[in-house]
Amino acid sequence: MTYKNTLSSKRMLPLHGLAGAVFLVIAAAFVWRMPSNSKATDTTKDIVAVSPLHVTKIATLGAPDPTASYWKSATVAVVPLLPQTITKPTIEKSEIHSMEVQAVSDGTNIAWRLAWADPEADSAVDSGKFSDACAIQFPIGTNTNLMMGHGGEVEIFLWKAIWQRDVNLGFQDIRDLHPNAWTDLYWFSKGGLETNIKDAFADPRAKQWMIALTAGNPMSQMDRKQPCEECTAKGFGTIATQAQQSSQAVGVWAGGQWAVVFQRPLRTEDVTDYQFGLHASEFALAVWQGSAKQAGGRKQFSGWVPFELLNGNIK
Amino acid sequence: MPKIFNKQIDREMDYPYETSPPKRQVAYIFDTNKCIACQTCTIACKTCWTSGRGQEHIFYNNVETKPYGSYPMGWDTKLQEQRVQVTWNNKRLESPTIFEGNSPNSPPDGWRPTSEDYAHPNHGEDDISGIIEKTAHFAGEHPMWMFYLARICNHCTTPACLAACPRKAIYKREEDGIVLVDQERCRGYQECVRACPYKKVFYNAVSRASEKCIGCFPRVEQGLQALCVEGCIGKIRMHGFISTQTPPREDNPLDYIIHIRKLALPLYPQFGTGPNVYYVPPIHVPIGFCEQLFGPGVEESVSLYRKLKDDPKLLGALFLFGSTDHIIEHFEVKDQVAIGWNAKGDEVSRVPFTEYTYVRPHHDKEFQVYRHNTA
Ligand code: SF4
Ligand code: SF4
Ligand code: SF4
Repeated sequence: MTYKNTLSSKRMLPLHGLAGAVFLVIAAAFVWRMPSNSKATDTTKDIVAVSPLHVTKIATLGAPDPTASYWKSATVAVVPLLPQTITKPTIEKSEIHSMEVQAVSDGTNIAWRLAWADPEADSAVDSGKFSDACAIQFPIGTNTNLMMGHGGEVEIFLWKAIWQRDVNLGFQDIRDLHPNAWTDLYWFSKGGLETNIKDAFADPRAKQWMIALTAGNPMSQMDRKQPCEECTAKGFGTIATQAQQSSQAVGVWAGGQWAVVFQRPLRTEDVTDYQFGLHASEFALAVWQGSAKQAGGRKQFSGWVPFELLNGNIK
Repeated sequence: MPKIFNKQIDREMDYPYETSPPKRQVAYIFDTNKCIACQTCTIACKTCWTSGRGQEHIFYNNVETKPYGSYPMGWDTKLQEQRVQVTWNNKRLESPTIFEGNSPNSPPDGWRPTSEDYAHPNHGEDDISGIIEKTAHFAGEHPMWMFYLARICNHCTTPACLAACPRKAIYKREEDGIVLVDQERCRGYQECVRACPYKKVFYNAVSRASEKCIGCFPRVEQGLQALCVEGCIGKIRMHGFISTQTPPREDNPLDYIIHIRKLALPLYPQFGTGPNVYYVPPIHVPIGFCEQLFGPGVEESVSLYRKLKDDPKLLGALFLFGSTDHIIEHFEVKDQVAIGWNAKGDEVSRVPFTEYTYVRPHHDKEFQVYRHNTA
């Protein structure tokens, strides 16, 4: 396992190289321990033994901003990633080997910055075309397995490049994907393909064919305000968008690197949310490489990484 | 991995889930000998179910010309190219299905179509199998051939789409075996699109979820046949149920044609999904080609079809195709008439073997006009 070190001014986590090595051992052990929940808890304990990432205290957090100057002085953890090979469908090899993680807090809000090298930004989704994405997860309760909270529960903040595109440029429509496409008619709609979907399909009768949207599938939202989702998972294949969303995010691709910031109040009223506090805590990461057609379980993931909010972090 | 007995390949096979057959299974019979590729079925389905934005490339029903047509491009050949040679020992499949012989953590073997693969829905249309040489002539058998293959989702007995979905967002209904993608749960991973060997699940880039033929379930719930079946101009189709938990019934036209007489055969049974659209294979196409598509029963089926005129019950069952909107649950052939009844026992179809003709008088006294009868 090698670590990439692309940010110039960083204070490296002591022991983090060791953490990687420990994680590799743990990850290997984890595969064997999968069937039993209690063993999985042991795994969590093992990982907590590694030196934690300190959340850096700053004066005030404004809107989420991956390019803000406070990231230059925040502690960086370089977290090694492994290909997901535990459950179907798997990936054979990692496309992304590590991620840099930083966290800052102003006592009210906390922001997480995830950065990784990616030579190309993939933000379109279509048949056989997938979006880059990343996620950070936090355990809810104690009996929480690394893999989507199997046996317990996790809260996941999920960001996707396609959602970022929707927010920045408007909902990705067919004409964005296929500028030369032609369709004679969409029943009850106004205008052809050149008309923005929200205007063209305003008539409820025209929406009859948009079944996922009508069924309330969160994937089908057309007026997304945030490029992220707060989700809950209780094991493989159980990820679900939370009813109440308290996170914000911004992702920027520049110079062969994605940098994504998730930002949220430390404490929320939402019972399904992870609550940040002074207790021993950990997070885990996942990242998807769109160009390698990764989605769902086809991802790179990390082990649990401990982190710590210090006394001064919380107002 | 659990073992499931797959009748169509006459052996047990691996399938990721324990399954028991639904109470009854929707099934369809398509007689390829009668299809004229008018695409009325395609339009009937598209108008009703897939006319929205994001559904431009979605054809739950499509009709392609074999040997060269395919939608999406190369849906069958691409999969076959990545698999081992198919071998049958009589009616038993020797080679692995798409669920077998893969590495332990792999979903069913498949491939991912891209939007380019959906760009030519009618490529190969009406193309025949080869060039007609200058001196070619008809000598009892056509040297060149083609036929139309109408395709919808097979509402498989062991669906690959369902097996591949890591979210279990695809389900097979207990009451009729219809396979559906839960439109609320799907998160658009496209695993089903990759896994369905028939490429009958499609990704919708606007809804960002996958969609598939819904088996016209709102119609089935009312005892009606699917729109692509009702609308079929060539009357090549029948839609109803086959018995799953009881032996096939002589008076159920689908049981009779498929299981008792074995006239209609599954498409690519070697994939192992247990497809429930059954085809009467084309009788003028080389047996070897047909066997690649429909398995080892082709010869038997073709010889049955050629003798249909002396087989009144089977012929009568075929006459019921396209004769009613209703699902026929019972049928009978009596005195050169085929009669069909629905689940309630109402007569919903009556087809005489010879169409009635009415010869009108040359002079119509009532309207004081003269008419010509033409034959
Ligand atoms: S409507 Fe019938 S005859 Fe026409 S293409 Fe479809 S299956 Fe063939
Ligand atoms: S034909 Fe494809 S989509 Fe339909 S049930 Fe079978 S595997 Fe699923
Ligand atoms: S059964 Fe219904 S949904 Fe399926 S192809 Fe036919 S018309 Fe379309």
